[in-house]
Amino acid sequence: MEHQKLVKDCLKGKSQAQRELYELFAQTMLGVCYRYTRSVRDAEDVLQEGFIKVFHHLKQYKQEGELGAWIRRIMVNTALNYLKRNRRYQEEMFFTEEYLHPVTDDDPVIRLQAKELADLIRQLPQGYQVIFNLHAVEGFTHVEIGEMLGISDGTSRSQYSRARNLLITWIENSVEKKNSSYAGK
Amino acid sequence: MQENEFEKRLRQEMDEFKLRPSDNVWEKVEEELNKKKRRRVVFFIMMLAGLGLLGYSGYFVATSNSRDNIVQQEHNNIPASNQNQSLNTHPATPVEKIAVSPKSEDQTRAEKTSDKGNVKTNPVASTEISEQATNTTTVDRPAKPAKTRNNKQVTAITAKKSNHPAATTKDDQVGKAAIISSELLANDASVKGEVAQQESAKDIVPFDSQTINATGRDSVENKSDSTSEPKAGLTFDGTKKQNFFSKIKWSVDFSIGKSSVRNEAFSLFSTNKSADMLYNSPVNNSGGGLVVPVSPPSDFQSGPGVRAGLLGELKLSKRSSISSGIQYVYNSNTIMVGTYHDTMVMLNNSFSQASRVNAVYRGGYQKEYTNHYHFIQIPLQYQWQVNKGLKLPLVWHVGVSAGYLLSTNALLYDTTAGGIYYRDKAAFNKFRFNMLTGLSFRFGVKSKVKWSIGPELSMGMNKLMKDSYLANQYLFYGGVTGRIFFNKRNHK
Repeated sequence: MEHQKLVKDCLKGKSQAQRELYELFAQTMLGVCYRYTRSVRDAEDVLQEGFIKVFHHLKQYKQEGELGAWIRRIMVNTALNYLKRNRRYQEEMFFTEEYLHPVTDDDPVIRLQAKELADLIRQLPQGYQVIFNLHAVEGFTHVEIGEMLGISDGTSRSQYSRARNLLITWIENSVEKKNSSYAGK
Repeated sequence: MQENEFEKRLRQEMDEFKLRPSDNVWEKVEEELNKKKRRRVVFFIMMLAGLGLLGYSGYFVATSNSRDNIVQQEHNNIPASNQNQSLNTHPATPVEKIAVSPKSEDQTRAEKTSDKGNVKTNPVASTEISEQATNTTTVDRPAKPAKTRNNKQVTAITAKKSNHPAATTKDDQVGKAAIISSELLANDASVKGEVAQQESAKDIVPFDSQTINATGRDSVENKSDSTSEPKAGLTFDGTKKQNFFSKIKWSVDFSIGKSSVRNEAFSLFSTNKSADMLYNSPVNNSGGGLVVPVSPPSDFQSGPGVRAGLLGELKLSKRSSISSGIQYVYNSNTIMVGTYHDTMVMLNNSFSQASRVNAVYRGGYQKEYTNHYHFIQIPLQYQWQVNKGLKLPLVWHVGVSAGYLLSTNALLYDTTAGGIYYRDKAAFNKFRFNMLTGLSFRFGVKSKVKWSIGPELSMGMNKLMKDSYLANQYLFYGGVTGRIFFNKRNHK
């Protein structure tokens, strides 16, 4: 209800409402953008571009679903478009079926803070990172990701598996490092 | 940890993950939003200016046309010997009478001598009155001090039919003309003003003919009377139309140049990179729609553009004029695409709708593809002669045009399946608004063949694609424009 009024005011062109909407979601959305990019500056570029799209197309928000989810989708798409526009990201967006790793039953304990986790996700190779974000964080199925990317769902699954294993290893290392530093103190 | 548990916890962590953006992000967002508002304001102002220009030119045409009709009528209907008419005031009658009849010089002289007051013959007055009443009409009005053009206080004007032979030969025509003349007198403020001006300077003479009332406000009521008794010897039929068109300089307009696509409206230098890149829908009920392209969209390369049409130009003053007409416009640009596939693909390229295409080009740089756009447009432009001389006039023009997209084969880019191009006519805005400006030299001002040539720029004011497609594409054209004016005697 609160969001509906905010949206209406934004549609009327009220600057105060636009600012309010931005303040409400900017921090969460920067968190989303951050996971898809390599630098805070790039993340902010995506955030800026994303919010411009949000305001330009706000009238198309049907007010049926969660406003935050709608904005989040726009941010994710903006991030993906941003990646493909930038050559340094493009070169890393390469999908192969070279690696086939089964999903393991590893049991790493996530004891890292969200920021550290996000940083680790960002260290994944770009292709893995995208699939990992889409599946693990955004919740798309491998079939959906396969359709979207024009790759087989098996490729998506294997890439994800690889990314996941890599991430779990890094998390374990980070946790170990953290523990040892605590023990040293 | 089970897979689901890992993802679940990761998602929880990520949902709570927040970062504070720097202040300049909002500043840039706000700037962009204001830019859009400014564009709307500029568009609104331009529309108002266009309407104002149109209104002014309409007024100009209407008023000048009335004056021309007067002149035209006088030349058409008044014998040369009778052009010197007198307007007399009868001192005894409470109604001023302005007699405009094709009297001979002798008659005029006789009337002059019979007048008690001042006797004045004003050729301008006779000319202007003769427009409404030609050579056989008398115009009566209450005996009030005559007012000037500005205060427009001519309250009652009565047209009388004289016994002039010309009036009796074509009664029907005469009646019609009388109505027109009384309407003109009633409605055309400037003409009324001039009549009044002249009244103040002329004598009033009694008139013995039948009277047709053409009182200012009451003219509508009196129409029936006038119609039932068509008497004045006026022949307005066709004259007005003829005069209007005779004032227009017609010309063939053509232009050849380069057209391309820009990311911003009114921009000469904005990049055309990825301008055809479409954005996938962030709202997708099936959960699809998020893609990572393998083949990025091609850049636009400018292509040839052509324009041809017919323009009419109307002079507003010695150095300014407006023109309008109809033009056919062809724009094009080229992109690089991959191989052609005759296959069905589902797309989610708008916020609200999914669409299906039956054939696509893969993204890639294998071959060149030319996007063609065909428009029909109506321009409205203002011309102003920069220099004063007539030897080689340099004319600056600025204007707007409203166009309609007749057809296009343009391809759209979508990130689906790693980047594809497809056709979707529904994605394009049918209406296009352009702003154009240019300079031209006019040659042969004093010779039979008049023509002009010079550079011109045309910028799209609205997006080529519909808003839901999120592609900022504005057509841009730069070229050389020429005009050849039809040879016409009355071109000035």
